[in-house]
This record gives sequence, structure tokens and C-alpha cells, in this order.
Amino acid sequence: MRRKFIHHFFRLATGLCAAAACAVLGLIVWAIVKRGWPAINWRFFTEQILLVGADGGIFYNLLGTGILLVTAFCVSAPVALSLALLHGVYLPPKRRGTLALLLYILNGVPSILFGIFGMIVFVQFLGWGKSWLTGGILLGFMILPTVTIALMERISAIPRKFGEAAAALGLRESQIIRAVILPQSVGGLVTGSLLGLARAAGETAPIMFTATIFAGATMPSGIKESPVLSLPYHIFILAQDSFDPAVGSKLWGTALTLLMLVFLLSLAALPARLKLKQPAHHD
Amino acid sequence: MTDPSLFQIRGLTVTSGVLPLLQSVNLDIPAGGVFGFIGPSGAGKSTLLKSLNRLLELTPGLSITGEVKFKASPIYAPAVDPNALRARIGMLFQQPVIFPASILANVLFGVKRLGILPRRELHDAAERALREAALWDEVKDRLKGSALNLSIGQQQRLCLARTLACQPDVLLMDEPTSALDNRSTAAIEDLVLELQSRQPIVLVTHNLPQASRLCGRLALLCAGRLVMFGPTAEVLDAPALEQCLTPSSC
Repeated sequence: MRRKFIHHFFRLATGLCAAAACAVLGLIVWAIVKRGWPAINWRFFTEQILLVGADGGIFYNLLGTGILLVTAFCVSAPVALSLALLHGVYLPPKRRGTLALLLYILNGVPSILFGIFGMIVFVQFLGWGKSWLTGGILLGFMILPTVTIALMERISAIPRKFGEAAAALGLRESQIIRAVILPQSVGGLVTGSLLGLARAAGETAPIMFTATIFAGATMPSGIKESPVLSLPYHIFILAQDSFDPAVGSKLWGTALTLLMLVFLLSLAALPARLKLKQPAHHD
Repeated sequence: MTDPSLFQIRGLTVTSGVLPLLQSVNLDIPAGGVFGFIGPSGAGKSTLLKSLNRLLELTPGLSITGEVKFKASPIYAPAVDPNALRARIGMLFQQPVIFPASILANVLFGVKRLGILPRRELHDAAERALREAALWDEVKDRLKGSALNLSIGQQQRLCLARTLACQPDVLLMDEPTSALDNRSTAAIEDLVLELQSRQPIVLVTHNLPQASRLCGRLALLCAGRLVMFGPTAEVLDAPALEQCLTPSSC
């Protein structure tokens, strides 16, 4: 009797927790869609900011966030690939745990510290001022653990027999990496990058001192003193100044745009993630 | 004076931690025909086979001592490049290993990367290898199609073609028919008999009728030791075989 009660109690408790989590997500989405939807139209995406955010659109913010994300991908992909190969091929098994631990520590570094680090090294020491490249590099390193771990999982899921068969044909290690390991781990790179970029798209702290400004930037033409506009920083600034209802409407529109961008990135990663659970190939 | 044996194995011992997998094996494998390794599971047949092309080294945690000579040169000498050695010694595994790519890409997987043939000759090499593996007529119209759609018997012949395309000096086969149905087994056995006239074959099998059909000479292994070797009829009639295959005797 008592056991049955405990069973039902825990089932109810876990169900309530799940419902609470879903409700929070639902509320956030509902609140943003409800207020942001009226602001969204074609002009909102194609025009630049007017009247200090009270009018116009977010074209250059979208462009800036796009530039930051593409740069972050270009920075993280080769480094993640090297680390994952180090983990899966070159390192002796004893050291692999250390590498994974370092990645988890990197993953735990607060994003504001990335921002401060970037400001000291790139903005001041290298004298770049605010630059899209700094932002891309910082975001790239922020998502590095996500990308690397997804790649590591994919590489360790490649059945041993492929490497053995390739070695038996006389292929060198570098040829085995190119012919066997890389083609079979592309999925991990894509999944990890999309998930990482979904996270990076909304990060404000790493870029607010280093890469992004509120208004006046268009397409960057160099590296030094070449900031971009961005979606999260736009939200950050407008939120501090949202007594004006016109500004408020643009704020929620930008928030909805960012939310859709993040959902799209996560959604794009979904098919590859579901596939990751299956063995890499037919036996 | 040329040495007539293909492989000379002297005092070969392989241990995994403290567990002996092979204990000082001495064996000469002649340079022609099909040579078979027989014995119960876990006798060390595959271990011995994989020590002949140094594939064993890829398994972490094994210690390998003793000497193996291939065509009179020691293969475990420090100056030997194991990849170059493996390119000369073809190998067929128990389960066909098909790369997720087209049939053509699978046949050329090794030969294309070894750089032993000019690019323009690769297509002919693929056709030749597929004909040698008796697969050409079945796949010639779908060379660009995925190799994963082939039946398991066809896949094993594709693996054979991939190895033959590299023009090895000898073929090692590790229970190549144990995953196959009767018809595919017969096809592989026919190929073994046909190919042996061109290159020597070393075959691991646990199937005694197969050993008697294919092999000219046999070596009997039991619990990591070489029990006896000689002409097939002699080994199959020996009382040691009976003892060896009875459980708990080794």
C-alpha cells in the first residue's frame, strides 16, 4: 500500500516538474510571439535602424550576427577537428580523460570572462578596437567544447573494423584519417556546430565590449575598428530604454527574430542528432 | 640460395597482459598453394594470421616477441615500414568490411591511395579485380551504386576484389566464409582454388571439411601452441586433432 503510494507520488512529482519546465518555455515563447509578431514585416528585416531604434528595421543586426556566427564556425571547426582527432587517434587512452576534462572546464567559463579576456587581448593589447573578428573568435572558443565533444562522440562511434580494413590495405594513418575517419565524422561537426551556434547567437557578454555597437555600423571592410551590429546587443540596449512604446515593439520584434534564429539552428541539428544515437553504419 | 618458404616464423610469442595468446610458435609456410590454420576457437589462429602482416600491432596492449620473416626478410625489424608491408600482403576478414560508398570506390579504396597505378589505369584495375573476384557480371551496371545494397556474399567478394586490386604477393583470409550462406561460401571456396595458382593463400578456418577441400598443408593450433603441421591428409588423420577438438583437452 505504502509502496504504491510512493510510486504514484513520485510519478506525479516528476510529471509536475516536466509540466513546469514546458510551461516556462511555453510562457516565454508565448510572451515573445504575442508582443513581437506585430513588429515583424518585410521592412523590419530589410531596413536599417532609424530614430535610435524606434523606427526602421534590423537588417544590419541580422547581418552582423550572421557574420559573427560564420566567423565563430570558421574558428571552431578546424580547432575542434584537431582536438577530436587528438582525442580519438593520437592520444594514449590515459590522456583522453584529461582533454575531455579541459573541455568541460572551458565550457564552464562564464561568458563575461570571455568578453573581458577579449577586451584585454584583442581590443587593447592588439589594438584592434571593436572588431567583428574578435567577436567571432571569442564565440568560436565559447562553442569549441560543444563542437569538439560532438565530434569526439562521432569518431569513437566509428567501428574499429573500418580502420583495421584500411590499415590491412596498407594505408598510412594520415590516409586512414582522410579516407575513413573524416567522411564518417562530418555529421558530428555539423550537429555540434549548429547546437553551438544556436547558443552563441544569443550571447551578449562576449561581444558587448569587443565586437558590437548599437548603431552606425554596416558591412565591415577591415579588421581594426570594424564593429558590427548584432541582435542580442540590440535587445540589451533597447531593453534599457523601452519606455517608448515604439521602441518596445521593435525590442520584442528583435527578440522574436533571435528566438526564431535559435530555433532554426537547433531544428537543423535535429535529424543528425537523432541519427547519432544509431550505430554509425550498417554492419 | 633462395629460401622456398614464404613465411618463416621463429619463437613467436604474443601475450596480452599476462595471458599468453601464442607461445613460441615455429612454423614455415611454403610459397605456393593454400596453407590452412585450424584449431578450436581461441586457439590463436587469427592472432597468428594477423602477426603475419603486423596488423596485430593495432590492437593495444599486446606484446609481440620472436621473429617472422616474409620472403626471407624479417618483418619486425625496426627499418620495416608496416604500411608498405601490409600493402604487399592482402587480407580478407571474417565479416565483410564495406565502406559507406559506391562499389567502385570500395574496389579502388586501397589501390587509389597507395599510388601504385596511374590514375587513368584505375578503372581497368577495378574491372580486372572485380572479374578476378567473380563479381563483375553482377555489378558492372551499377558500379556507382552504394556497396551497402549488395548481399553479404557479394560484399565479401567485393572485399576480395578490393584486396586483389592492390596486387598483393600473398592473401591472408581469416575465416572468410563463416558469416556467409552455403552458396556464397561455395563461391568464395571456388575463388580460393582458382587464385592459389597465382598467389599463395593463408587461410584460417574452423571448418574441417573446408580445410580438406582447399588446403594443401595445415597447421593445427591449440591454446596458443602449434600442435602439428604437415600435409592436409596427415593432419586431419592425426590423433592429436581429435584430442585438440575435444573440450578441456588443451
